[in-house]
Amino acid sequence: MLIPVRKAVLAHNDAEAAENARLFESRRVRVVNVMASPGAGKTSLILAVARALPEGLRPLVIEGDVASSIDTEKVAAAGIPVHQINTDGDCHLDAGSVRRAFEALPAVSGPGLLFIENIGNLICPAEFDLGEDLRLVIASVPEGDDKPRKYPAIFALADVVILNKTDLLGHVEFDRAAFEAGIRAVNDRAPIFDVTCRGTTSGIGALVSWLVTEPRPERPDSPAMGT
Amino acid sequence: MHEAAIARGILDAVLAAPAVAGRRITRVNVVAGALAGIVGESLDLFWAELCRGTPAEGSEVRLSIAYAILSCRSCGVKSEHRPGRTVELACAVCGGPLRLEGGRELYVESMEVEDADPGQKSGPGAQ
Repeated sequence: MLIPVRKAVLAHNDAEAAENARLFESRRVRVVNVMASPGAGKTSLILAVARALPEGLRPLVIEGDVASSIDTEKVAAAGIPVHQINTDGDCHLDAGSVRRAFEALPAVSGPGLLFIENIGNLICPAEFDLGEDLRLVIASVPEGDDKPRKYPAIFALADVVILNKTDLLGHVEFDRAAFEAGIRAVNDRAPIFDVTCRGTTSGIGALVSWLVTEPRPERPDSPAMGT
Repeated sequence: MHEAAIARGILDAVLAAPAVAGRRITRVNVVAGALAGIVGESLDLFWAELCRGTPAEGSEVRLSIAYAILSCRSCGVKSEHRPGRTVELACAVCGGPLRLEGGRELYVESMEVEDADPGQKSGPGAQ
């Protein structure tokens, strides 16, 4: 006997993500889900942006890693409240783990900007809503210009794309126009910011301005149900 | 790797359906978008393990792929984007820019269960 079900596979995570979004808004915390491959510069970007935030906007960080607290130690050394999630093998963060990590962070008075550094992976994090306001995807110059065409799903859902390590342009093979064409093939709305966030930084100021002013985008009601 | 969480979500969805009521589930029909990144073989492995001791033990998950659609923003021609295919950079007809839509579906469409009377079918306890 055939029985209709018509239910999103990740309905439980989606419900928890919606709860997270309400919680973040009630605490006046804007949330950025930072996604990229391992080594693209997620932690370095978070630290560079945190240093450049306007007065009165408090940075907060949730670090996601399969193992270790290496990134958390870097963030804590910069004086930023941070909580580590170790997934012990899981390839992505989910809304429930983010909720528990957020509750473990010290409560901030006044507005905050929370960065969730997702697991280094260009595939799995794309499927799990965390309740974030903005989805930020980083690609770095040494990875090559073909990444948007090889991993279209994650670039398709990005609200903003960062090209990091642009100080290496000219030193490694990378076609900037081909990179942008690859993104535009799957995403016609996300702005692209070229940055360098180690040593002499560049492009960080423009990115900070965008991150603190860009409204949360309207999202489809339920992309998992095709609506 | 995220197929473990996907398998868990599918099982939660089917076991929560009121019509199950202890009947054996034989097949679950799932719709996955071209951009959902689901690997069928990987899902099967997690599914078999996860279903042990539940009404879905021994069942299969049948994946139907929902293609994403590439629409030309100049001439309006649409084409399908299938999993694993290279994303086109420009419209094959006019060379115009493309927009990628859909392909993020991931839902349990339906399931097949054995008849309520185990004496009539090969349900639990039937010979």
